Amino acid sequence: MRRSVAFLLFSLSALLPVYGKPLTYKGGTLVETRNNGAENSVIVTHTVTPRMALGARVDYFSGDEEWLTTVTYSHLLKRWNTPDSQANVWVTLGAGVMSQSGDNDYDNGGMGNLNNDAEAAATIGISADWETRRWYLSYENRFIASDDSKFHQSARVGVAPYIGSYNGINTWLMVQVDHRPDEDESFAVTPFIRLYNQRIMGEIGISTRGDVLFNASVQF
Amino acid sequence: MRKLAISTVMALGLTAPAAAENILVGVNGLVCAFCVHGIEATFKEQPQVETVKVDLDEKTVAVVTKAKMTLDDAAIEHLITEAGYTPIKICRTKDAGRAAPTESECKQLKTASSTQ
Repeated sequence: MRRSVAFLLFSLSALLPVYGKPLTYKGGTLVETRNNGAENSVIVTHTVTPRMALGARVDYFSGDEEWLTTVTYSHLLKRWNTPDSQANVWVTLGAGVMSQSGDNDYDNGGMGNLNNDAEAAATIGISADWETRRWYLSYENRFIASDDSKFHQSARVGVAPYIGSYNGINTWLMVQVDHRPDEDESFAVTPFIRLYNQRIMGEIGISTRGDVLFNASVQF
Repeated sequence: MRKLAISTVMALGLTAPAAAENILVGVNGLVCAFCVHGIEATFKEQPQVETVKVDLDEKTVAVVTKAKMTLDDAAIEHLITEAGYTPIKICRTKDAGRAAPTESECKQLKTASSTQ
């Protein structure tokens, strides 16, 4: 079962395009998947007002073999629009359920075995970004409160090797630094390439730990 | 008789249709091609809008209305703000022969704020 779901997430990630911003425009919907060595996530967000979005998110944490399913509320705290840049600060709250995959998943003919000891979980995260048509900086964190609490923070820096047009393919060269204090090897550095065209975006890279990063997002 | 003919033609709507309006909006925050999709989507939902084109180099949004239709300044400011950006000026022309309004046809938006 777990393999089937993981395969489904991976299949979705091949179809769906990553964005990073929890809000798009009023009435817009963003479907996003994020995949790396530590977790696989599928996120759907609908922007209700220019400052607020509601969504749903499913995460699989491969290290602890845990699933987290949450509904989310994102709020734009501040936005700065200048002639040559935009910067944003958001907060995202989540509430849902954390459940753990069993260790003997494949004892029953490979059908898998999910434990039923689901527990309530809540999340809070802050994210911020600043970008021009040439440079990109972002930071985000997320604290998951449950019996097995987790904290993750990451920062990105990027540069566009050429200034892309609205209708053309835009290319960004980026580096992401992840910090997961719960893990033995708590830091990971991932150089990756971001490509997007209008409403479809994809990112692919490989970390210093040898893990593949694959993110994708599309907005409707 | 001639007056009658002219009146008849006008009554039948056979005169040239009223020109569409070319509107050019200067916008702050237009830096990400992936993000500005929202502006296109927002304007295309408006029944008055024939075409909309975002120009990241000029930091403008060009809107052509349907014939006999217009979008007032308040509506434009609202739509740009709803999409997450800050309108700073609105220029208009009804001269269909010109691609864009001139600077003298622009109105600076005194209420525009660069933070939201």
